[in-house]
Amino acid sequence: MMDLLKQLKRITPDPSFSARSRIELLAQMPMRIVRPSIWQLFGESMASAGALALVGMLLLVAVGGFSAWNFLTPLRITSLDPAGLTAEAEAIDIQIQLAGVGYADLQAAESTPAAADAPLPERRQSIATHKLAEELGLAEPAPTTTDAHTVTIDEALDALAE
Amino acid sequence: MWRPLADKHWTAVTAVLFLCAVLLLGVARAETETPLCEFTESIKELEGLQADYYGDPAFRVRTELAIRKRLLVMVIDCAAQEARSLRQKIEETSTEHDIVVPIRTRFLETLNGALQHYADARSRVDTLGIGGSKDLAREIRVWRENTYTPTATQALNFLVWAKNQELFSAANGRLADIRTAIRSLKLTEDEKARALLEGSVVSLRAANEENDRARGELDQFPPPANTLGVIRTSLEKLAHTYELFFSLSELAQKLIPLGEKQ
Repeated sequence: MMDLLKQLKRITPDPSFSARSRIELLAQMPMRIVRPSIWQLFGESMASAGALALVGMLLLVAVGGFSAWNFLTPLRITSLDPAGLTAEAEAIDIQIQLAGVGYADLQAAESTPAAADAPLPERRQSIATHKLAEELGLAEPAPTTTDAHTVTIDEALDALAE
Repeated sequence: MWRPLADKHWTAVTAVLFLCAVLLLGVARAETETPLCEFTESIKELEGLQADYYGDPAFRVRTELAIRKRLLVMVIDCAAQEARSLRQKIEETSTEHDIVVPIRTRFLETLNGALQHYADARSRVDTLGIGGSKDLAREIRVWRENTYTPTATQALNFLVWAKNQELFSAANGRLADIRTAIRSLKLTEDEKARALLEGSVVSLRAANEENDRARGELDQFPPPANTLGVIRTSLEKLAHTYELFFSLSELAQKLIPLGEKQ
């Protein structure tokens, strides 16, 4: 038994195997410890920020409130933007109302808007008359008396001619 | 001894200055005050005197004449104020387009003439008797009906028309932009989009023609009866053009393959 153990103690590895193994092990180990540069740190942070931004954008798209149609073709599409079209169309509608107001209406209405319970066309016409009269500086405050009719210039001249 | 006298002096000076300031403010206010255009009470007073007075005839004539003169001056001042407001609004219109300037100038000249007419009439009031005041009232009434009111009506139409020019300018600019957009997005390949674009062009052309026709009418004297109708039609055609723009906008959103709409 003792002889057997002494023989085992004399066992040595094959020199060529041990050389090859050492080379392979050395190739796996870092040659030196590298400290990250500022640019590397910056690049890594940018990558993280980019990833976060991408996640944010995906969330925005998923949740809604985003139109790729408007977002990706802004310069070409602004001319067809419904909001801008609506604003201009409303301005035209107001002018159509104003164009329905004649000089005679202005004189007859004496700038007093129709009552709130008046029919809609009459009320719209009255509002347009009042607006135009205001623009012309002809609008006056509503009469405080219960006498609804105010005598116009021409009516007063008729009364004076009698 | 000396100090109380000085105090009295300064108090007096301050009082005089204060009085002057109050008087000056009063004068300035009286000059800028707009005339009161409420005739109902004076007319009732006049009618009451004519119907129910049985006293001294001389007193009645003197009172009636005083009421008539006061009312006539009020009416003339009010009518002049109306013409001044209109003139101011005409003055505020843009002179950007050369073609508008002669029309604008003619309205201003006519309104200046009207103001002179009112000033002449007012200067005659003091010399009139009851009969003369009636004649003057009739004369002003006829002049207003035949001369002033048609001109003022047309001046008002001019104001509406002048304001419309911003809308026409915006619409023409928008059509040019829409054309560019539709072409660059290659939407003209779609038959419906092409038809809507062509329809918009035709509709806006018709609106522009009607707008030009209204300008032509504003330039005429005596004014044609229905200039306001022409202006209104031009606006209705413009509104129709915008309906086509809206349809184009909706169609473009459907045709552009970029995912979801709002």
